[in-house]
Amino acid sequence: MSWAAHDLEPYVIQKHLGRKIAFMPLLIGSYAPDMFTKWFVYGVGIFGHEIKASNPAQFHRGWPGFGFTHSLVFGLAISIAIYAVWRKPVLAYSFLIGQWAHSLTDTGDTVGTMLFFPFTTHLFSIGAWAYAGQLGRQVDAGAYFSGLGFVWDLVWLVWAILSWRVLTKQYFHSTVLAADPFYKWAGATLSAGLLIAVYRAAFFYGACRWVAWTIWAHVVNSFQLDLSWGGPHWVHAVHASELNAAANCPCPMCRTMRPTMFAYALIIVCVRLKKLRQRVVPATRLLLSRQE
Amino acid sequence: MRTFLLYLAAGLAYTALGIYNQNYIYSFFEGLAFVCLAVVGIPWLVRRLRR
Repeated sequence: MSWAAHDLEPYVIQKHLGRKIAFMPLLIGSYAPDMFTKWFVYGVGIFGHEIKASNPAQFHRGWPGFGFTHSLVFGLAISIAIYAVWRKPVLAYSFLIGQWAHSLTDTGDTVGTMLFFPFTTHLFSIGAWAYAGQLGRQVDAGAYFSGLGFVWDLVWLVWAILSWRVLTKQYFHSTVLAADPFYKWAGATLSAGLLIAVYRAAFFYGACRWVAWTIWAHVVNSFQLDLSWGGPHWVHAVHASELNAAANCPCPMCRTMRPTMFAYALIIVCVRLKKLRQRVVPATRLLLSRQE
Repeated sequence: MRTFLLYLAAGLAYTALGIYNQNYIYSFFEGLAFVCLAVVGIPWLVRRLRR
C-alpha cells in the first residue's frame, strides 16, 4: 500500500495528458481500490467493540477477499459501467488510468496485487517495502515511513511539485475545467475559489500527510529507518506467498523457479520491445514515404 | 502570492494537527474539509465580519 502516492499520481498524470483526461474520475479511480475496504483492514471501534477483518491482508488483497478491486479487469469493468451510464469516453478511461495506477503502485509492497484476476489469483509483488496493514494503522504507518515506501512517496511528492503548473488557477480554467464534465457541472453551483480548492485538495492532503507521518514516525516516535529491499525488517511483514494458496497457482509466474526474476525479465522484455518499436516505426514510415 | 501563502499556512496547520492527532490525516475527506474551510470558509467569514 502507498500512503501519499495515490493522492499525488493524478496530478503528474494530469500534467502529461492535459486536456485528454478528466481529473475527477482520474482521482476517484486512484482511490477506488481501497475506497470501501481500508477501514475494515485497520478496524474501527464502535461502542467499545472493534470491527476488523480476521485476516486483513487476505481481505485487502487476496481471494477470497476484496483483492479483486486491485485488478486490471476490475478497473475495466467499472470503466465500462461508467461509459454505459454517462456515454462519455473521457470519464471511463480517466477512471481506468487512475485505477490501474493504483493497482500497479501497490505491487511495490510485499503482498502485491492480483493484477490479472480473474484469470489468475497470483499476487504480483515487487516486494520493495513491507506490508504491515494487519498490525494496525499506526504500526503500518511507522513501518511504511521507515522503508522504501517512504522513498517511493517522496518520488511522487517531488514529481508532483515539479508539475506545479497544474495547480495554478490559469491551468485549472484553461485545461481541467475544459476537459472535466464534473467541474463544469460543479462550477454552476460552487464559487470559483471553492472549486479550485476541491481540485487542489488531493495534492494538499497527500503532501501534508507525507510530512506529518514522516515527522510522527521519526521525530515524535523513533521507528528505525531501514531502506533495505523489503524493509523495514523489524516489522512482521505479510508476503504474497502466505496468501491465496500460492503453491497451487498454475500461472507462469508461480511455476517459474524464481518468480521475482520472471518479473524482472518481463520488464526487460517490455523495455526492449519499446526500444525496438522506437527504431522500427520511424524506419517503416520512411520506407512507406519512399514507396509513395 | 497571497493565495499561495494561504495554502501554505493551511498546510502547516494541517500538518501540525496531523502530528498532534493522527485521526485527522487518515482520510482524504478530512483533508478536503480542512482545505476548503481554511482557504475559502475562514477568509469568507473574515471578509463578512469586516464589513
